[in-house]
Amino acid sequence: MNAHLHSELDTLLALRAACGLSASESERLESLLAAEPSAEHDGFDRAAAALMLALDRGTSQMPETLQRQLRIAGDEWCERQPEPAGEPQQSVDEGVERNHNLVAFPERRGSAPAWAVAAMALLVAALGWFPAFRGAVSPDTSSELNGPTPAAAELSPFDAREALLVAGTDVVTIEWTATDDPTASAATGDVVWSAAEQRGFMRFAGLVPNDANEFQYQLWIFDSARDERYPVDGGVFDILENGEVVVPILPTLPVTDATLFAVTVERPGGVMVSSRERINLVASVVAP
Amino acid sequence: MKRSAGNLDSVTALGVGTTPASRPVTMPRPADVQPRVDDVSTESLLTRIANGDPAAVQACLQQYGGLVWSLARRYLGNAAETEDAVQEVFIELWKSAGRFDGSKSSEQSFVAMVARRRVIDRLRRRGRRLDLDTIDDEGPEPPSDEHISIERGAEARLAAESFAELPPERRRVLELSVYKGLTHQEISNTLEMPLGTVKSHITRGLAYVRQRLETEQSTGGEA
Repeated sequence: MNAHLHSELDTLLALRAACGLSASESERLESLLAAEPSAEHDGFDRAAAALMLALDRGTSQMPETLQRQLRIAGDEWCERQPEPAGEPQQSVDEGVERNHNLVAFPERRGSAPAWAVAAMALLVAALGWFPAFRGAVSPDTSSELNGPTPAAAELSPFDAREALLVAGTDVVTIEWTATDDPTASAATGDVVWSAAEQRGFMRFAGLVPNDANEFQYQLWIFDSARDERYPVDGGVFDILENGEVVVPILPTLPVTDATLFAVTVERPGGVMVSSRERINLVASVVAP
Repeated sequence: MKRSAGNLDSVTALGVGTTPASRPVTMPRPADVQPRVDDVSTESLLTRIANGDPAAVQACLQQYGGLVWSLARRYLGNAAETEDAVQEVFIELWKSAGRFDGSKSSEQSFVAMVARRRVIDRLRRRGRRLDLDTIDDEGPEPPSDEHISIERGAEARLAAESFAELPPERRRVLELSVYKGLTHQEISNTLEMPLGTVKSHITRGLAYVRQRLETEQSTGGEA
């Protein structure tokens, strides 16, 4: 390749790195690279990336809903990856075929009972890519209940909670324990949770209504099958009124063995990982 | 309703129903909770992802989510398309994590490189660029050393130094292309500058930054 062609190659690589090429330019670049297979392709791209970082005047946070989608996508991606070399392959028989729609880390796979896996698969299928869950849930906001079955979806949160209490075979009810956080000074209520159905409800009375532009409440579910540093995000919610409120629990990941439910006060939109500086309510499950 | 003493390091557990239980449930301290990328392992996140570490995948989202989002939003403008692009970028990052070579670039630069390629591809596919009305008329000020040293790594700092040494007109062209995502034709139209001059500024400016980075790399910072 002569000096002129080298120069043209560099120009096209630089333009590609800076702002992309047109179709004709891309074709020309491909032909030049075919003639010079040893050319270093990424040097201009690295320079452009470093320059972009240098010019960056600060980043903004991506929306919470997108964060959640990506967290689920990340889990799904992990699920699809082969086991690390040197570790024995996890058996996935147990009557459950490997399902790439499931969201679970590889090391958790064996610990999840078949019913939990199946229930989560149904939930994922029913709710689509991501069950965006926001907003206050008051007694008459039945349309906001995203239950896993059509029948449940037609009920108000209050009625759905009652139905779960009546029909559930493994339902636990745990009272909230309030902390000294001012938002919970007069709060009472409980958590109803069914591991088999992977759903539940929070009931509150006296939890201070929030302005969603100032802060929001967020539920976290601690699972003995998971690292306690990473509790399952149970959803961001608002309290709009002082009366009794029922909020559905829709965990973003399967919860194998819930040990603790905790509500935190977070910035608008919620967080991926809570600093736990403001925990206002907890409900702890202890095996009988 | 039971009330705690407010100490959440050890919250007395309640049994099923209302029966108090004696076994305490420990709430991890905040300091134990934050998944700081750099305190989990000295290994890069991308290397850990390539080795199948699920925690690294989540940490990668936390570490670089803002960077990728801001980049895509700036280039694409449209929020819905930005979300799609960000998802594409992260999936691409996870897939290509094994190609990351720490001897050639920092992890942050690699992430930015992958993100830029993806987003530029998307811009090209849709055949439309940014709203040119949003481009401000003022040329870029070279980023301050303070900003770079706090927010960015060594490569970005060196790139900033290199950028500051370029003629103002070249800096302006590079900013519109590398930072704003305009094509060379759009830059030509925006600045009323001949297309050949725009291409020349981009090529020479980026070549200069590249050379500085590669010199630094080859000399281990002794250049």
